[in-house]
Amino acid sequence: MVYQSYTGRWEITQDNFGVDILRDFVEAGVLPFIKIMNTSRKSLVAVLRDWRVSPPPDPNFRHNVWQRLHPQIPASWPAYLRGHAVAWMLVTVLTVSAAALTGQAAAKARVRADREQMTVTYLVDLDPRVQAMLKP
Amino acid sequence: MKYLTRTLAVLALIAMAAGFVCYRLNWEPILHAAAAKGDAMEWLRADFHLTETQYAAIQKLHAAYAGSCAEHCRMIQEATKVRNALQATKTADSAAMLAAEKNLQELRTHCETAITRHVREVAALMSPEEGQRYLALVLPKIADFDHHAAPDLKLNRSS
Repeated sequence: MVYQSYTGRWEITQDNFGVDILRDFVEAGVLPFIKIMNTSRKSLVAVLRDWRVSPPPDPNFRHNVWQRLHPQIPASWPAYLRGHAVAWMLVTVLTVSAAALTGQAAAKARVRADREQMTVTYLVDLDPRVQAMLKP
Repeated sequence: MKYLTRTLAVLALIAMAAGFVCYRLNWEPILHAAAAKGDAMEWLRADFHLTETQYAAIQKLHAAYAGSCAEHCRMIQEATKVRNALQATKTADSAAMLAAEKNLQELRTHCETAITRHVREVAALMSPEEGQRYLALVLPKIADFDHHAAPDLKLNRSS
């Protein structure tokens, strides 16, 4: 039971605690409040029944929906590149480096092969041992 | 997807351009032209950056060497024929066989010494760095010709 002690403080006694709490709420006016809510609900239902929404047509509605569904699709190529700048930069550096090294290696291999061929041609002209084998 | 494809296409073009530029920067068209023509003297001039004076001096040296080279060639051929004739004879004297073989080997050794001396003279006419590079290129092959019966020469393509 809730009561105000002689010191002026509100205190709760332990006997019949649940019953006392319920009675206190009822006495405090909860039941009248519920009655008021029931009355208000009836009027709310009436308001919702009569409520009509007519928003203005949005020409970008479909586009905006797709944008929200696929936010990763950029509007333009530069925007796409900007969105993946780091990744593409890395791929570009690696690819161009690999291509440059391949080109350099191919050229060096070609030069080596040419030099090898010319060294042999040169020595064939100089070396009588080889010429003796070549001549009939 | 189309942006990805487009980016990959541009990247491939850039990579091909980079590869081509690096190829052209590193290859030696004069050397390649000399190899295509089979012009050894042109190769010598281009690859070892000979001046006109050096080139003329080396040509003169080669011309002087050509006479002794032809003579060595003839002697080796004759010695080879003698040796082969003895080998073909069933009743050949082993002492004569050994002598023929020894003669052939001496001629080959003499020939190798002569050609080595000649290329050293040629190298001396070049700048020191190019001379060293030239010797490093030709001397191992000269030694290799005798020991391995000219494995690199592709004899069947020679006329």
